[in-house]
Amino acid sequence: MLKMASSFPEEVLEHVFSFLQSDGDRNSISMVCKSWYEIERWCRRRIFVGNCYAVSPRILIRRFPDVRSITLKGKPHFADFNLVPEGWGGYVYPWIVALASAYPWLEEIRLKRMVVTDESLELIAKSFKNFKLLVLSSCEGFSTDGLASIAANCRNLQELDLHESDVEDLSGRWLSHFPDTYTSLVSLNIACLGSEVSFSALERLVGRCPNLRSLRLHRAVPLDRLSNLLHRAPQLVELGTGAYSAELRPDVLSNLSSALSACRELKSLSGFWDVVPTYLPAVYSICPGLTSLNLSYAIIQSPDLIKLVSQCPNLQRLWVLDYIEDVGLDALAVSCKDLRELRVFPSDPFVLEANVSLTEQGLISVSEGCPKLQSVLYFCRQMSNEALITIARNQPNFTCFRLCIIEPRTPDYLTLEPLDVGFGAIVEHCKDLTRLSVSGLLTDRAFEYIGTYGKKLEMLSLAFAGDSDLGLHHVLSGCDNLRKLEIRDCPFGDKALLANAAKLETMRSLWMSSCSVSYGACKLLGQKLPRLNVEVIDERGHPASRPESLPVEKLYIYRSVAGPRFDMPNFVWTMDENSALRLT
Amino acid sequence: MGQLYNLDAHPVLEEVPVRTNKRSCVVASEDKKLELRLGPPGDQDQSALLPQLGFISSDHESKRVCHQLQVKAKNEETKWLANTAQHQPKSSYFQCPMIPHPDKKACSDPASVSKFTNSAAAISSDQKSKSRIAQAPVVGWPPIRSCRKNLANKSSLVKPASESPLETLQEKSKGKSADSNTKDHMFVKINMEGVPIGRKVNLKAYDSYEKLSSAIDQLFQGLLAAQRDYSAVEKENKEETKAISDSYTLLYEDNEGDRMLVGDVPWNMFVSTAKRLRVLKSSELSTLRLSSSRPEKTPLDSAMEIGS
Repeated sequence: MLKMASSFPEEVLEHVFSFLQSDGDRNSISMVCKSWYEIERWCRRRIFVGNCYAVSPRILIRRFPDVRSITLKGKPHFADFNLVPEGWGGYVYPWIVALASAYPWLEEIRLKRMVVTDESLELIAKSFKNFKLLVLSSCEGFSTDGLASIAANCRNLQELDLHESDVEDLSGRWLSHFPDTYTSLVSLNIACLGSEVSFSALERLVGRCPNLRSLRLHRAVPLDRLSNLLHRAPQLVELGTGAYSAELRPDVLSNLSSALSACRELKSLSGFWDVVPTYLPAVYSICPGLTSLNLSYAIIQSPDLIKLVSQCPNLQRLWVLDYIEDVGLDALAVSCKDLRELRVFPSDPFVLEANVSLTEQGLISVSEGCPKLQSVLYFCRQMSNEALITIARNQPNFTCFRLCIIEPRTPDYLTLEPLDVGFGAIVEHCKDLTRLSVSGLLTDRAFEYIGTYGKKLEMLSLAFAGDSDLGLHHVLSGCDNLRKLEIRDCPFGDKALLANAAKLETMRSLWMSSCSVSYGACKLLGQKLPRLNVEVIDERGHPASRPESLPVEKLYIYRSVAGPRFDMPNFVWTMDENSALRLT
Repeated sequence: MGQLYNLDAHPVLEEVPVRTNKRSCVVASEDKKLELRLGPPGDQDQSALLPQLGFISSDHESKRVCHQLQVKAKNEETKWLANTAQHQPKSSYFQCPMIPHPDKKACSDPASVSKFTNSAAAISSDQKSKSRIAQAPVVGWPPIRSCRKNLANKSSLVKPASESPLETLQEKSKGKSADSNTKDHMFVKINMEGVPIGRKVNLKAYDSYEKLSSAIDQLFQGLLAAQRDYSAVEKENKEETKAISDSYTLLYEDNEGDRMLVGDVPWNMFVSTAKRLRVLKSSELSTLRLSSSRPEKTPLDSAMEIGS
């Protein structure tokens, strides 16, 4: 046996390890031998926790003593669509308490779908002297008071991003809590806020932060204020406008045009609430440099949209409402050959008949015209197998394909058949597909295709699809790399789940709501697989008060080394060895 | 295998129960310890099975039971998978594409199943009035986040510059207003300025403007008070109610897409033409701006001065 491990200086190994950033690589090297494990754990600085209940703070801190950056995710994805009842969990406070005492040099906290209280924010503000970055993505539970604490105390803060969080907006005064001596802001995203902030405070803040690269304003900042801000920050790379409207005065348009054209680094635009089309030409001068354009809140009709995108030959990402229509997507396919990501959102999703002329044709055009297109989210009202096959053949490079046909169980509108073969074509041709959302009328056959071809699929979303447990069985037994599976309103019951129980330990999580999994099966899973947390969510009362064969409302299963959690509300129960004996 | 999705070949069962079985057998041999199998449908009494496993405490016992299950289930699993593949209902959903199969346990909650069936039945039976009627709400569907939902509020106020299906739709809806008289409910959206979450009201539940007005007060009081001051929610009283109706103005959008003041026409005419309601602060009426470039004036424009 060579004594290499002991003779090779630790510092050298540490230096070598510092070139490895990905968690996967770091996990691998930590398994080489005990000394490498020790060295690696002392020098790992970035931690990603995909499910905050999969591990406890204590376990994390015990292994990694010196962490500078942490990402935590809480609620399951379907929480975005109100399927996870309020109070389910995802509280960050216990984490912050633990992190505050263990990592005084923590610099970055990124949270997604977690409940963050003002108390948590205050603790963050006071505990980490070198705190630099706070991203709260789709979080809730805090108010602008919490933001005031952050603004007042974090002297080295560089990034504050409230990405689509649900903030209790008490007032805009929090922004004035940034002291006059504070100059380190690099990125600010307050697009989700509602209250007006002091414009002069905002202007002064922007003016004294020379490193500001990204500024995403909220709706309460009118267009006539934007010019002043842009004059103070011509170095901006990302801009989110506020409301894109103002009283019609002659100087607004010219001021805005000249302010925007002075921003030569601008690559990304978003915002555009309440658009008055008269002001759209102001952005034309920067269009050629744009790589990202988010018009998903913009009520702009297709002629104006076409004018806009036709001037963006370097566009890589476009988020837009279905006002763009098929004609607009045709124009997009012609002008934007570098397009990588397209999201088309529905303007009027709760009406059955189409209010715009956006069909499968638009998606066909882009798949044909944009050779680099990899990621699609598309809401439409009709689809055909033929179209899907064409799309798959046009663009085998999809890594993320999410199609939402607005009416559940809609068949191929030409043949009235299920869309099985269409989605089959997608999974067969797109060999690198890692994320898939399906919709429309689908039988178990569709899932057979997915299980057969979806070998690289990591995340799959199903709704109103399938005929029987066979469908779920195909997916669980076939998709080797499946990490996250979320299902709603599908006729899947106990059999497939129990037959593939071991698979669940290889996945991050499984969500099933309005399916047919019985309480008995949940108990069985919980008892037999101690490394899984099997959570039954049922607002009708404890499932033991009903026959065991009846289905539970919602089921969330995730692997965990932390054991069952104890912060559950009274409509969530963890199935484990004791659940059979536990009193209701 | 590559020809599976070929449209020319009628997709009957060229399927491969063999292939699926192979995979599951591989899984079976790989991980016997944790693998749980229950028998195929009809071949085993599952409800009898579960209590057997429910109270096992010792490891040895559980292993034995698991093994028993596996031996039994392994033999039958291949049969089950083959059977299920053959018995797939091929054509039942073709007849009624929008009505969920009654046998399927698609929705574990019977209430939501009936809700869906009712709406689907209502919709498929009355194809004409399908045009502008919203479907019965299914929670979380379509999957869009709340921050994107309120856009529909403004979308119908904007007329496109060029010819588009939108205009033909509005023409259809003019003719459709007669159909609304035959139904016993007429839910329209109502949004209040400053409140991001809208509500829905059933216009047919009221027979006068006064009743509608007080119903709307009720709808938004909770949301308004929560926004203003949490502690005030408990202290709400009738005086609060009056204050709300005094300082707010009720508008509606008619079937021609115009914004109108509520109260001018007879109640029945109002119910048959109103498509959407909106509550604005009375003080804000003077600074009303249209977000579209439509030149036509609403009654409000002529009544109020625009601009400060």
